Amino acid sequence: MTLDMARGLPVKLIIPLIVGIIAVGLGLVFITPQQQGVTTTAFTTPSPTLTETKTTPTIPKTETTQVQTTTTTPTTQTTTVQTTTVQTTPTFQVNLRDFFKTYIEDITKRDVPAVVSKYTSTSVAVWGGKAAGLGGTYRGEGNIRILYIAALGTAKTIQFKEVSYSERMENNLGVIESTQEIKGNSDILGAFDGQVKIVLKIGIMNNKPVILEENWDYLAFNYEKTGGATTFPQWADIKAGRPIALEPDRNFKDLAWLLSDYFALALYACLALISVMVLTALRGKNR
Amino acid sequence: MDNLKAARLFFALGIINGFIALAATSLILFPDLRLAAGPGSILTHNVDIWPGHWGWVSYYMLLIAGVAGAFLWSLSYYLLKSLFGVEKTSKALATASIVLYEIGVLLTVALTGYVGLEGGRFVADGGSAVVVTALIGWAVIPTGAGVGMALLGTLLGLVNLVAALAKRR
Repeated sequence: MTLDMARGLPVKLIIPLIVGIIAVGLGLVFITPQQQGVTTTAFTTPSPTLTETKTTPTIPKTETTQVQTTTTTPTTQTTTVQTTTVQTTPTFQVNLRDFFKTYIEDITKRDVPAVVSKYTSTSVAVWGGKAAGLGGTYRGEGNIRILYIAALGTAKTIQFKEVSYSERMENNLGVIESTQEIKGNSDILGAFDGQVKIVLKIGIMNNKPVILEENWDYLAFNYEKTGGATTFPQWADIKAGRPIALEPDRNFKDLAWLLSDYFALALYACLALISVMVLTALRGKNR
Repeated sequence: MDNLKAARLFFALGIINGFIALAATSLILFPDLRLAAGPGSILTHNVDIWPGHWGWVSYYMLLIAGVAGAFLWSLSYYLLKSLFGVEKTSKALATASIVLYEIGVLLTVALTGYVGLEGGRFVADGGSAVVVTALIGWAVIPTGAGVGMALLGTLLGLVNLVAALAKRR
């Protein structure tokens, strides 16, 4: 009896202790964020516009210039060194036209790593307008990579045709505005075409031009397939009432789709077999 | 396999899965994970936004199939002996059932949990529900494989129980 009590004691202590710890933890988590100025910043929705100054590439730089003045008198020669402080702002030395050309070429080539290399961890890409489900706000090169994988990964071809282009300087950032006609073909969307207004704000980080803000406003976007992009494009076909064409020897997803059907059928067959076994057993018992 | 041994194995799995559930629940104590409040939290936002609600599916799957399911299997094997006097079942079927069930449940819980938390947060932070497919799409087929394994394990377990009862006759 004493031994049993001794064995049960840790359990009696541990369980209330664990429950107590969880209760206190939950209480802290739920109550603390409601207090003013404690952790509210962690839960604040980030502003859609980039206003951080830490990524501003060109901060006015102070340069020191030494001006040497020599004054000669009949008896002694005095040399006076006068120090003058000159504040200069470095000029933005990026060929925006070439940068934009490379940017469009990388997208056309569907080279996701090359495209993503133009962003930083604080870059923001906003795709909006008639963006066919691609619309959203993507912060940081990680999320932007996912955007371009989704946009370019399923595309077979993408072509751009420039409608307009302009560039200007704004707060030491290069601003590019261009309207492009876009057309191509995608596994998810089928044949597509449209027009998009692209606005890029370019800065310099580590002596390299980078996109700090990107805004793609789809003015028009037409595509062949509807029903949404999913892991299995066949789901969109079912939703749209199209026949499903499987190529299991060429496409792993098609193979998985096909095998899943057979697996489910095999499970049903096994369940039927079990039912037969049960019925047989019951019938034999009743005899 | 002796039925008491099978019952003990499933009982142990129930305890292990219970500890996993305890660890999963304790994640809510980390404010950085934003599980309790704010944009992207599974309590306020992800619950009704695809694919965030898969986090809930994962959690309840762990509790129902992982913890409660294991204890029910344990009870089944125990009752097979105490109610029907069946001492042993097929070792191969019982072993396959235990292994497939546990791996299948944990794989499914882990992957759906990833889809719910990471995918839900991506959408809650402004990402598109279409674009998020590029983030979580890889997990869909393995999740299906996990579900298949758990189902197969369950099926083999049922076959084992029924076959043992039929032999008893």
